[in-house]
Amino acid sequence: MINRLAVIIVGEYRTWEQVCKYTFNFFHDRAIQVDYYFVTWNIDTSNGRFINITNEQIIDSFKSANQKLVNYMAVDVIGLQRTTFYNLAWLSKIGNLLKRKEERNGNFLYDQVVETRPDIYLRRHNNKKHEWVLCTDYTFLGVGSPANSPSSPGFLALHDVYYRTNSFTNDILANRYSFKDAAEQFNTSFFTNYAAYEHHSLIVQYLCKNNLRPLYPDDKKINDDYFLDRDFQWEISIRPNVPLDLNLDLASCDLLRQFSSEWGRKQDFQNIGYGSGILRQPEQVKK
Amino acid sequence: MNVALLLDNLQEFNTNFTPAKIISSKNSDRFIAMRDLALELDESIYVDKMPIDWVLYCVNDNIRFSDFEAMSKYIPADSRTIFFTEENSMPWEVEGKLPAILGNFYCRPQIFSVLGSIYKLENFQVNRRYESKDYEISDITTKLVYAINRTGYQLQFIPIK
Repeated sequence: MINRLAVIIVGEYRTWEQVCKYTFNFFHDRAIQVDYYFVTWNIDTSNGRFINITNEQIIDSFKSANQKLVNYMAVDVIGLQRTTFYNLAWLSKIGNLLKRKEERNGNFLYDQVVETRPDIYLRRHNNKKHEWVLCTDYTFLGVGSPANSPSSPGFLALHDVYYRTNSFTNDILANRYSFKDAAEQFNTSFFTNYAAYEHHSLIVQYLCKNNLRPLYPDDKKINDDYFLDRDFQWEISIRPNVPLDLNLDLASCDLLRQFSSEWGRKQDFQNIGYGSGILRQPEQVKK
Repeated sequence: MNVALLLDNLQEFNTNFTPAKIISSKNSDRFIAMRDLALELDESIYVDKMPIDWVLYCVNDNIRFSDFEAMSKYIPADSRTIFFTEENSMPWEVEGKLPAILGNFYCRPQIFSVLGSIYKLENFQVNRRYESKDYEISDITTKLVYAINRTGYQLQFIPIK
């Protein structure tokens, strides 16, 4: 077991209050000390509405479960970006800053760092002694091996729900807001442009550009067995249509995927003004 | 052109331009100083939302951004190159001698953010201190150049007079 684990939870608030107890249960025995960081903002991009996230809401979710929330921040939205990649990237950077400040002030380094989202449910392995293979410099453990994205044919893609790294690599991973490819400025094709800058594809491009390597404990297992080496059996985003009284640990993967599928979610270009130009500078949005 | 001037153990300095932000560190450990500078730089950009286009990292008072400004506008925002304008500041051998310290350089802010985390590297090869007299200062440059190359960044010397 490692000494100190930082869990940086970043993203829209969404179903955090429903999911949080499962998140705490997932991480509680992974380190002698588990420190949480929480960064969200006051918008729901699925409908463009502002929501009022209070500090008390955030603090209570940790306090009531007796978890150590080291730092948190609810920030104003930075403006509409062309893909959710940049929204999450901005919050990731804020969470990373909070972690780096804690490391500097306490004169220590975290052994491992996990970045995940408030709405992600992680199903534990049946084997309770499932051990993590630790990530070293320039390695990460993500969700799924890079594969062809169904929504972006021809492009590699990774889910943007869970990244485990060491502290150094987290600093690189959280630096991704600044990432864009010069080709973006010249590509006016709707399809190829969306496919190339769909957030699942963009994260792979960023990881490749920075020479970050997926952690495979045994390279021979990059097939079905690979999933046994992940930190969890499977993961899913819990949408608002999942009943509050449903025990997620007892629910089947198929059932939760059905909820997710039925909820649906607009693609990036449908709700954030796709095609509005190259990456915008942060801006204040009128409430 | 918004330039953040990062001063590493520099007490006095003169510039021929007005920086958007001046950040100073007085830590004698080069990488810890970079850590502190990068942290404050990132806070300025991501928390205070201050637009910063370039970083000028300085360990000596030869600070002349105007030398670099003419060409800086042709360098893309996602540039992955660290630019040196003084030959004796290059982090490799010049006329058989390694520089005592890394000199001034220019880069995009996202690059400096990563340099600020070099002190965390676990790789024992770059962390070991060489005993040979010829390489006694190379523990800094070795670690720095390793991180720059391994992350996919590049070094470039631009002889501006």
